[in-house]
Amino acid sequence: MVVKSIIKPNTFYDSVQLMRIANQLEKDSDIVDIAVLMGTNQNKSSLKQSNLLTPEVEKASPNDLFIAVEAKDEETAARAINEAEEMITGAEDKMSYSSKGPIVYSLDGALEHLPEANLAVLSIPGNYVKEEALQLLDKEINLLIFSDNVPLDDELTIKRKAAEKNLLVMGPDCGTAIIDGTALAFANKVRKGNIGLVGASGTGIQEVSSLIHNLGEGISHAIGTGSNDIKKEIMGITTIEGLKRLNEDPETDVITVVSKPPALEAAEKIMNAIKKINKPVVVLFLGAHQEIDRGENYYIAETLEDAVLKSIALASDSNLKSLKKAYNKEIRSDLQGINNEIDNLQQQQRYVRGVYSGGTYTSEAAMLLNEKMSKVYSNAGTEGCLKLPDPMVSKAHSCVDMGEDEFTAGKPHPMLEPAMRHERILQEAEDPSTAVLLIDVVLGYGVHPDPAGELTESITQARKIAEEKGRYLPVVAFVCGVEDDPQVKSEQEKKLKEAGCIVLPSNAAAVRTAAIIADRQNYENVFKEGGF
Amino acid sequence: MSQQIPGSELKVINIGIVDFAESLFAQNTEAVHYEWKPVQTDKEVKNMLDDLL
Repeated sequence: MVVKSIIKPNTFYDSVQLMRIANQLEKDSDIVDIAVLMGTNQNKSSLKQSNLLTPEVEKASPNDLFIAVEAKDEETAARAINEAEEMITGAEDKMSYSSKGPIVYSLDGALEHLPEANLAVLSIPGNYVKEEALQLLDKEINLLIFSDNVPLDDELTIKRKAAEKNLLVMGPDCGTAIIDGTALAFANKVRKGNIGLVGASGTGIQEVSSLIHNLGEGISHAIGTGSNDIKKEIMGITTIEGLKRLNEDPETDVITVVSKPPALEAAEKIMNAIKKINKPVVVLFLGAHQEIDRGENYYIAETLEDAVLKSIALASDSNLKSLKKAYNKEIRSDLQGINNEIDNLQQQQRYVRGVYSGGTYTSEAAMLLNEKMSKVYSNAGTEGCLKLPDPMVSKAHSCVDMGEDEFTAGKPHPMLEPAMRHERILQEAEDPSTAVLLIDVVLGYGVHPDPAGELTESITQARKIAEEKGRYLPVVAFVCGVEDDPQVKSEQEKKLKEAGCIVLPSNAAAVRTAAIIADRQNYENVFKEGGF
Repeated sequence: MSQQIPGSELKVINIGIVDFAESLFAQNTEAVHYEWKPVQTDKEVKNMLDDLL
């Protein structure tokens, strides 16, 4: 094997473009490993476990781009580097000549083009965020900060300055927001309506907003807060600000909080803010074990799906039980053939194996399985579940978040590149104790253009592996998204069904279905005719 | 959109990942993409000049 690397000094490209290039080249079977990254300390340290951290790469500065390749011979490595360079130039040409909107090279240039700009979406390396964010706040511009690795001190400084100026800061590490019908970063094209969302869970907001849309209602605004907002250092500054703004917003009738469990101190402050809201509030702190006092204006939800049904009942003045009944009826019709799936299982096939791209879905899956089953492992740190000793290998019932750092170091996130789940899906199929595979497919702006198309290749291969070994492998999936998303929900679901998947409308329904299969239960006892 | 969240009509400056700008353009949102590069330090500029001269 040969490792080659080059540095392109003072050359900056965004991380998504670079990872896409690396991923394209990695498809060549003669290339063992490749990284096309900026020379930040974080990127370099992510390569420590690989052979790509050459002495040359070690010297790269954060402003330098490096290409490092491990290949079967010199020629392949050199060719890969050349191709990477050509693709980088191609990406630049694409932006310069084919973009559908204006491109500028300075903040002044941006403001000249759009003097009344009221929101900036920032997705630059974390250590540069504070300087840019403070400048934008000085120009009276609200912020969505997608960047992660922003020091907590910087986050606090930015949020305090925004509060002084009565501006809103979503993030850092905010992956999803919908403002006045516009999907920002990774979000779905949902209809406008009277339910406002706020919270520290990007994929959670995606599922709640999409399900609300798919059940006929809509979203006024969805305010992402970023994952650190609920830590004790930040104390929910954006969550509380978002609640206040949605409370004052005439288009919002119901507010839904969708969040991972906040730190105890932050949770108390957020709950105090919720009690002052004069609209009904649905609160989901997914997986939280702390008791929350019942209040007059708020309702506690247990799952993303539960938050959706409660929000719709409040927003449309409908009966919750009737809504659940109608919802279950739809699920029951999806499960008509499930007994055949169960009958085809071998005795040793006992376990659910969730191979996820979304962290919130992984946590929800582990939480729901843990309610009914013993020995539920996860790498998502779900309270009450066992921690997978080695995230690379499943044990008993396992829910793996493939978006965690151990899988994405120097690689694209599985929402951007679904094929990075390929090897893991095949690995689960090889295991004779796997009873059912559980997967999520996330649609929307910013994510892969055809995630189901990519995954069906892996699913077909996985089912074939099981079949060759005399087993049958059921696959349960859910698609987070809506019909107006660039990928079109019905087309994505069709691809999954054609590959033999059972497709459910929500993560919770998919998890319960996977549990029915692994435990050989009667689905009619789980998705009851009268609701759940 | 209400006055509160965050202005009367959404006008966006996208800074960084170009895909996000493309999504905004696709939704017909009034937007501009700022092709951001890190500001180089005086030392880095000096080194570049040394390389060139």
